[in-house]
Amino acid sequence: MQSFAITMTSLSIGFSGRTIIDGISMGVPKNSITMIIGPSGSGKTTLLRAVNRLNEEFAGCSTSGTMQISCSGTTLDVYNDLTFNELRRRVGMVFQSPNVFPFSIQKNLLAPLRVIHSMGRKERYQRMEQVLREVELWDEVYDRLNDNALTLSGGQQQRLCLARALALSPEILLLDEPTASLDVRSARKIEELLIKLKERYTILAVSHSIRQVKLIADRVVILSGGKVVRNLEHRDFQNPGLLEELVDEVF
Amino acid sequence: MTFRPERILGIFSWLAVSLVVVPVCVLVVYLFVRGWPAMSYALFFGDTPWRAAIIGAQPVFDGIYPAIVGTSILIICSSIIAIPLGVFCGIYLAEYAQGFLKSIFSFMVDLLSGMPSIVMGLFGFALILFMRRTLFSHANTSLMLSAACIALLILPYLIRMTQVALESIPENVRLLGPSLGYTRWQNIVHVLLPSSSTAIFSGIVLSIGRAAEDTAVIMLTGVVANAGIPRALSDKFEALPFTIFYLTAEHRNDLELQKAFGSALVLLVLTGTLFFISYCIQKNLKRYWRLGE
Ligand SMILES: Nc1ncnc2c1ncn2[C@@H]1O[C@H](COP(=O)(O)OP(=O)(O)OP(=O)(O)O)[C@@H](O)[C@H]1O
Ligand SMILES: [Mg+2]
Repeated sequence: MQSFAITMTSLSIGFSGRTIIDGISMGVPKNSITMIIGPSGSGKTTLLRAVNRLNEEFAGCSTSGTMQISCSGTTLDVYNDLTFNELRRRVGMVFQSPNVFPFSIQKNLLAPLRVIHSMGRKERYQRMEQVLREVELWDEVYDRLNDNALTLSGGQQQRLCLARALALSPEILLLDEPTASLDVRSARKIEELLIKLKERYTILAVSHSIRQVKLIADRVVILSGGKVVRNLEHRDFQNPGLLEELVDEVF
Repeated sequence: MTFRPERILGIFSWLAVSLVVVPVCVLVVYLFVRGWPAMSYALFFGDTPWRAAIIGAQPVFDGIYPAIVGTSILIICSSIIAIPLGVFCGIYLAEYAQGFLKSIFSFMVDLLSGMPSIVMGLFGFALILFMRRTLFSHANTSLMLSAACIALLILPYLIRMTQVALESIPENVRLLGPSLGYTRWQNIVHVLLPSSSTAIFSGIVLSIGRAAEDTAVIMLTGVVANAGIPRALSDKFEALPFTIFYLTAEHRNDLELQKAFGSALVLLVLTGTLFFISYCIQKNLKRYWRLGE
């Protein structure tokens, strides 16, 4: 039996009475890449944000159902056993559009390390360099670490966000279209990185690209109208044409 | 020539700007022209030696030095009271208050900002009367009372500016801290306040200006014409706007009126200096916040 890092049972989420996620039950296996695809507005972002309870930052959000995460050997009920901050320290997130602090590049990485992990100065700088190298951003920014992060290109910002999430050493990574604003080559690099990262993290990602899904996903969830319409294992969607067919059906 | 709406809009905004800029320039130039000749040692210290005046060994009878000291202390004291209070109220309104409570508090802030300053002065005056009749028979109008009433006067600016600044932070930046595991307070301190510092500081500058110029409040709460340099917060005091007021109201010759203009120029320079100082603080804080570490 597979062990799941995230288990949702009849999870529903609504905003001001409108149901967005409609009774989803699914599991996200450990140390693998699970990708969500579906039409725009189908609730992909909302589903990701359910895992770190970010939806609840909005007034008018209502949640029902249960969700469990299992981290370092223990299984925890997200809604009862953990505070928001404990949960979010275990679950890192990269937003759909590049989302950096309007501060310097290095502060984007160093400040969370200080605030969340109270890490010492030297350690923080080491960690910063390590994660920037990991997302292959170091060579592009090492001589301009004090520049405002907003001066980076969209793709660079997105990699900075990924680096920031990694720096905090979470156990689960939520990636909302991590390669949306990247060119083909940088996207490739991120894809290779994600394959490496799944050895250490459980990854739940949203994607728009069938090519990408086929290349790196271990499992695909097709979402439509707030419901899971298909849940495919790796061997299923490797059949040539099957995924395309399903997607044509749903979109 | 065709008049498209765009063109008319452009002309109007141009006109509006000149309607504002021209009077400001005229005012400043006029103040300089009239005030500059009054600039002399005597304007500040009368015939008291300045060393003796500054250490308070000899009283200054005929100069505005005590008024400069009085106004400076007044601004500093009221800022010390009002700035933290105002910023925290703004944080509360923007980040914590919800629903009914929020609309009640907002309404009260609006009410406070609509309060004429003479009413604020009257309130301070009535407070002293009340205290005298009850527990504190020695209570009297003083620098402390004026500072408290001025603080009340400038609070609504600070609250509103902070609140609006925080509320206008875009959603995605607002969500970023929580997504990393910041607590609400960590998010406010490390993300929201730094990214709205410019607006909050303009609120502070605005309120410092207001504290410097207000005359109605202090007239009822402790300012007098010849108090000398205040030695304690419970003393009566002199203040520049009040000095300008009585010099102008009671002038018998042009020389005395000139003195009023001189004092006005000094007040302008004083508030200008304070603006500059808060600008420098903001610049440095911003640098620190942006770069970090
Ligand atoms: N904070 C919110 N308040 C109200 N409604 C929301 C909120 N967030 C999302 N929604 C609604 O939920 C629905 C799904 O949004 P969501 O962002 O999850 O879509 P998505 O699948 O990520 O789409 P896309 O591919 O375009 O990013 C939308 O109709 C949206 O209007
Ligand atoms: Mg989305």
